[in-house]
Amino acid sequence: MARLNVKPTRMELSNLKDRLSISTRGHKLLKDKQDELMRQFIVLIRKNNELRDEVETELTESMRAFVIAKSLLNESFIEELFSVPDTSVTLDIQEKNIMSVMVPEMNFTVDEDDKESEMKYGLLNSNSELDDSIDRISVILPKLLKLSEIEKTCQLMADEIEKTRRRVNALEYLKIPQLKETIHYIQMKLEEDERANITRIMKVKDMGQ
Amino acid sequence: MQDTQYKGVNTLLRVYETQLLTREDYEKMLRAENLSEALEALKSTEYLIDEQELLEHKTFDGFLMQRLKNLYEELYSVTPDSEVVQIYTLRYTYHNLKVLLKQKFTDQDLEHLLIHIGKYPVSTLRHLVNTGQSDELNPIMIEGVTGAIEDFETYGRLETADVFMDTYYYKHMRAITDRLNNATITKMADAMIDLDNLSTVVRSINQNKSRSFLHTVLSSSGTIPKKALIDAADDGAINVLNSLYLDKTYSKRLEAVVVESKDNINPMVLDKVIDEIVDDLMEEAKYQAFGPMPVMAFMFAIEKEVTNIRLILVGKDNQIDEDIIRERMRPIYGS
Repeated sequence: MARLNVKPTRMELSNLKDRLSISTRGHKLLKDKQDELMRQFIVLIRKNNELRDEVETELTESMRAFVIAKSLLNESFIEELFSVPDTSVTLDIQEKNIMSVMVPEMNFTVDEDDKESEMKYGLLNSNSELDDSIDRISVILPKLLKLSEIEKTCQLMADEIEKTRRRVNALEYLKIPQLKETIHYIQMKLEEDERANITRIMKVKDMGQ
Repeated sequence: MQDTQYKGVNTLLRVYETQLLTREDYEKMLRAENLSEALEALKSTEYLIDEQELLEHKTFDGFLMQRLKNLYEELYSVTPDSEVVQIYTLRYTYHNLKVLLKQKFTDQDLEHLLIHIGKYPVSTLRHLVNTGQSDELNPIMIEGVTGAIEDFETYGRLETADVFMDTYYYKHMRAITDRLNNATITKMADAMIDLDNLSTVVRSINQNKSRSFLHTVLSSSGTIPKKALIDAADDGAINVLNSLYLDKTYSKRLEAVVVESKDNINPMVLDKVIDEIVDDLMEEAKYQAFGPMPVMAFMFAIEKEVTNIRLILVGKDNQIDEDIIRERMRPIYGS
């Protein structure tokens, strides 16, 4: 381990000791942060996996039902039915702080004014199977939106965990050992100087007698 | 119009009928392992397909609509009374009107959704939607479009286009069949409108829609009054069927639509049965040389052929089970 390129003085020793103390405290704090982030990340990942499995299963079934329904209708008819959405959804994103990671908190608001009408689309060029598949997709939609929120949170937390891990490792395996080694070197050097000085004084004293 | 005036077109259609897909053609497509094999079976037919293009982009409606467009154009040019052909092309015309109205209401570009099939070109329909006037178009269509525009301008409801166009489609169809005064065509329109109303009732009940919704979407152009349908719907779909449809000539066919537990109607089966009932009515056309019925039967056959081909191709493309495809197949001509 390379020691730092500093002059072996008492001032430098004092500075390095301060830096070591800060680094050790920082390391402990970052380690705690990493542990807590990991704990929360694991909880979120479990939730994410469950939700993803659920959404994927339901979505596959709904899309299958939709494909069967649309196979009986002209593609232009279906596109026309949904060309003008019957409801509008507003997305309000707020930031939430998890261990200093700013994660999104998404709030979806369905415009109630648009829900006045019961008619989502014309019934002439559609069929019952299309109704079912659209209903199923509508049921999944809130879960899908929730999944997007959790996945984004997991992604941001994973980035932060990675960053924290690098910092912890840098402190643990590089910074702190370097500081310790340099402090040790300066202490040795100063003690050596001290001993040399005493020896020199003793010699001078001997010469005077 | 004299029935003998149809002898020319009917002779031509007898030739065209031989070009329709047979049961063997469908079997070949249904048994295909994948989309490529199913398309292979279509190569020997009248459909002009570009296999590579279809395998890449899966735009099945392109060649299917082209085939329909060519046939309807020819039928318009050879059929003595164009309104006979209009019975089938009205669906496309009213679809185009919906697209144009939605374009007008929302300023969106929906041009790619227009289907160029029908008696009148899209430019004539566009003129009607833009100005609310037309010298060429049927007054019923003009009334529907101007009504939709007025309603939208008053209440700002976007679903107006769907509600008005669906309602006026049936009104227009009824007006044509009344004028044609052909017993079978009238029976066909009666069955189609009444059964579409039944399908609407079933779908509305399944989706817990209100009475006012039913009042908006049901057509008054059928033989069963709208009020009777709405009242009967209060006690469930099966009550509507038992109280209003059992005296119909096609009631035997409707037995198939009742679910096993006998307390509801299967709307998917109902959609198929509607086509089977119309197919039964078209049966007589096979032995007629004069009159508009062979034209009607041919148009029905080609529409169902297009539906079946689309169903099989989409099914094969998405690895849907053969049984699921089979149970949704529409009547096949000559079987």
